[in-house]
Amino acid sequence: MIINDEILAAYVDGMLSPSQTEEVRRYLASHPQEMEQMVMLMDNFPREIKEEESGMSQATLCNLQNSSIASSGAAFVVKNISPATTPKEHKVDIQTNLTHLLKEII
Amino acid sequence: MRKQNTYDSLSERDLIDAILSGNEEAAIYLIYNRYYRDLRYLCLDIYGSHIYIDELCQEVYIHLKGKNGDWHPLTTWFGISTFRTWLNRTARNLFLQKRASLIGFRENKLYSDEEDDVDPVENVVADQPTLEENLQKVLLLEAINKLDNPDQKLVILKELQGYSHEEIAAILNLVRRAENRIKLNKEGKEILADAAAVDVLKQRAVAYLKEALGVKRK
Repeated sequence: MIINDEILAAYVDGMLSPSQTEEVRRYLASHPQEMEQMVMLMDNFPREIKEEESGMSQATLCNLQNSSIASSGAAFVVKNISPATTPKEHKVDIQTNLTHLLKEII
Repeated sequence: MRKQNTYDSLSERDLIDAILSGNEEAAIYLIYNRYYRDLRYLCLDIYGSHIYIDELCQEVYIHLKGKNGDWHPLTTWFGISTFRTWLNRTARNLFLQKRASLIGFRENKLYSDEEDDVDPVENVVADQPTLEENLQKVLLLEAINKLDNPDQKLVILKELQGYSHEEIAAILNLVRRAENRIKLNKEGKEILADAAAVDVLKQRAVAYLKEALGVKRK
């Protein structure tokens, strides 16, 4: 089987057969740099949030500015969020975090 | 508006068939309506703002249209995955490729400059996990993807991306509101998740992941 974008997408969607899944697992294990993309594809937030429902733009949503959040109706308990926090700034080494989580579990 | 409503009722396969038969309006709808939110998020994720969203959507359009203008790249989606996941992966790769030309981002530099401070010796060791270790990570990712509880899944995925528990709590509250899953206390006020609640969710997720990975309880 050729591992292409669609096969990797189908893996995230859980739409592969057991043998195909096993093949993708081996591929990912030998191409660990792909794991970051897997995490991002698995993460549906905040794409699922409708801006009009949250009462704020996606940028604001990701910045999580306290003033905007407070004005959306209910007071937020979070006080110490950096106004400039964006996913990009959060971009740390997912591999390292995965290693830490794995150690925590095993 | 009327035509948008028409497209709204079409499946991805129908939309792609329409595009392949020469309906460019369907392509515009696909990028600028149905999946615009996804693309905006990707733009924010990779570029830190929405400033390049117009250029990037245009790049997606050009990419999908293909070199010969026959929309060949769209024919590489066979329906094995959902179109949304396929498009997200395709667009992410494209956005990363365009980073150098749009913002002069240094290639092969995916993370923050803080990496420069890492002890090179330690870095070499950290960069060489065994195949077995990587396979364990893959299985862990798979188990995370199968977490039934959406809050637990969100907590784990956001923590992997480096968010603090306070930030995850804020995100969680937004998601719950958007999905009408808010809980009220006796006074009728919304019960908001905080860092402690996120910690509890994480521990519950870890317990599930241990079970899923066949780790025996201590």
